[in-house]
Amino acid sequence: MKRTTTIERICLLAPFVLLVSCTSPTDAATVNAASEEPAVVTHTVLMKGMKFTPAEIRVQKGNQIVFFNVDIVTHNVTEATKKAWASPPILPGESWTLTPRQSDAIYCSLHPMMKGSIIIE
Amino acid sequence: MKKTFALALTLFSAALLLNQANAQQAPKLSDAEVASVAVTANQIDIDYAELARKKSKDADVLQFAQTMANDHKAVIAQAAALVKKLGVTPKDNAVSQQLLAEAAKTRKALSAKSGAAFNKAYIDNEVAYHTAVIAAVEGLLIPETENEELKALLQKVLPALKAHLGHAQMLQKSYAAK
Repeated sequence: MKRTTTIERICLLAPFVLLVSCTSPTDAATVNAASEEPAVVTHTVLMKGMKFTPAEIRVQKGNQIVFFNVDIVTHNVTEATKKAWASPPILPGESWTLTPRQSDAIYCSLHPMMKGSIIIE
Repeated sequence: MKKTFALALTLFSAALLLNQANAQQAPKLSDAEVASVAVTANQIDIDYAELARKKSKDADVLQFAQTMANDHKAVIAQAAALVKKLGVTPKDNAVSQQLLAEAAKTRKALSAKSGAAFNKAYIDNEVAYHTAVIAAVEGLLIPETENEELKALLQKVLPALKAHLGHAQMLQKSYAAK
């Protein structure tokens, strides 16, 4: 009776022991790798109510900006002065990520009244 | 331009009459009727855009028309999904019918024009139409709507309508300067 109980206990604990032994080294490696590389900071700009929110986003060089369309219509992000670059159409509920190289004025070419700016500090 | 004014007058008049009717405790526009007016108003601008795509060769007009078609189709899709969820069937009514009648006259007037005259008339109509629709959504449809989700959708559409108006006014100014 005692032996049976001990075996049952081992069986119950085994998955947890395996889980800990398998995941711990991986997690540690991930943390070490992350700590050796500069952290990528991500900023979010909402496309909401036909506006960029915030309209002016200030970031450090190398940072990412995620433009998230929460409107009911499709938008895009286009460099405003020379149309030097543009995102593909960003459908409602979708997002697009940019790593800006320089400060730029931006707008949505589908809705030209929708304007904003990216400033690299 | 007379037809555009007539359409704008129709929307303003409908809003005014319903406001007066409300004051006298007369029957209100039901949510099913509000849904019908909203879908009709969006479809009318899609039809104007289709006409512009057939008749214009101006890049700015064509891009504007494409945006109008895409955006108003997106609004209709949202409205259709919502009324299906709510179990509401859009109900034809006098306001919807009058909008369609006036829009048919406007399309006929626009169809008779070509080239720069068409471009100017189309953009002028878009300015007047969006001005009237914004007034109707704010002064008629939102106040008449009882269902909170339908009301929220109408409120969510307003910024798009105002952005369309701003875009149309920008094009109108550029044509006036030419």
